[in-house]
Amino acid sequence: MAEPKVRLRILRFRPDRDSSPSMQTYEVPYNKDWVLLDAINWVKDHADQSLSYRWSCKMGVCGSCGMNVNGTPKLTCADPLAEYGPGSTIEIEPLANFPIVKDLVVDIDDFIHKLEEVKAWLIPAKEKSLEEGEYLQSPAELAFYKQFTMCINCMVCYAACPVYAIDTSFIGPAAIALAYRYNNDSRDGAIRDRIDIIGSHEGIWACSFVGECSVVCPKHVDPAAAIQRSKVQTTMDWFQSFLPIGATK
Amino acid sequence: MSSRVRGKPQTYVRPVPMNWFAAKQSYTLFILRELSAAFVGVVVLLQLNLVWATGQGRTAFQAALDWYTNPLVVLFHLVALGFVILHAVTWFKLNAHIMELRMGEKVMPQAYMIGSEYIGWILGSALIFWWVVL
Repeated sequence: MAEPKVRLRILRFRPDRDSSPSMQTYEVPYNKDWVLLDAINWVKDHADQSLSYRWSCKMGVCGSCGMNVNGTPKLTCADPLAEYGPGSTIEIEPLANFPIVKDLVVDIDDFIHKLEEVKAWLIPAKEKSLEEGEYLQSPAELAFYKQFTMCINCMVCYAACPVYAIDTSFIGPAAIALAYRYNNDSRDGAIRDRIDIIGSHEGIWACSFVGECSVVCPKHVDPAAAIQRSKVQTTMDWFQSFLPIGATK
Repeated sequence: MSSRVRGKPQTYVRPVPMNWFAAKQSYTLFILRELSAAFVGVVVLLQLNLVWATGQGRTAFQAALDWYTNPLVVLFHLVALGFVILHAVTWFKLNAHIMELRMGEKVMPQAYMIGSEYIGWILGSALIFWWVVL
């Protein structure tokens, strides 16, 4: 009996010789215990060493193996081959909405710049010395933002966002979700800086709430929720600025 | 389109197709939800026209009422109703992402929020029906 196979149609773009991408098909052995990344690795190891793509941990943590699979952005290390079945044809493209560097590798500079822009790290209101001890936080305070700490920067949400597709100046789902995560961390004191950035024209107000970012998020972060709740938070801050207590410090 | 920036490798930027909203059902539903605003706007203008006609006297009001019974106008209102229901249903689903229900530290399932929205919708509609019709 012939060995069961799957066909991978993979987008190829070799900048040194191609002016535009094209699709190339590979026949790969079907193994029900594989994830899609295993099948791509088989191509690299046995069929075409020139194929370029990113991957690292193969356990849904590093966020580097995101690709568009049959039009839907997902982590290929968390996509069982059994869901497609033997004999199927799977179309694999680089994450949508990002410039292609080579084959399945995209240019992520824009996203990294946006993470810096929203200050996606903890900035305490007052720096403590080591002698003063830890920045303490109650379980309830942690629960308030914990969901948004799960973001692994895989950029799958950007590939699903039609707003980012049309206007790449949009700060985008993951960066705003991370800004929201730090804004709502009781140990942080830089909400004022972040509100000014995410409340700009390119920030939360550019989002028209398609909601697909939350659908595709492999870590169930729900960036659409973070964006909409940031709209509420920013609006409250604006109204508060007219009151004697003033805007958020 | 292929591009090269000094100090960076040449990259290829894929164009966004004009019909991007047809690529996925969620995109299509989004566009239809946005489009519903146009129908709601026209219905509001038609209602304002009725108010204006009322102020012009009995003949003008009756003429406006007759115009509203035109099958094409009725059809338009049915289509507008469909769009309003689509807007409400898709928005209720999305709204559960914004308004999170918590019991202490526990986050309640989104179905609770969506269910309460439908209950509010039914109660509001019943109240208007009682006020206007009964």
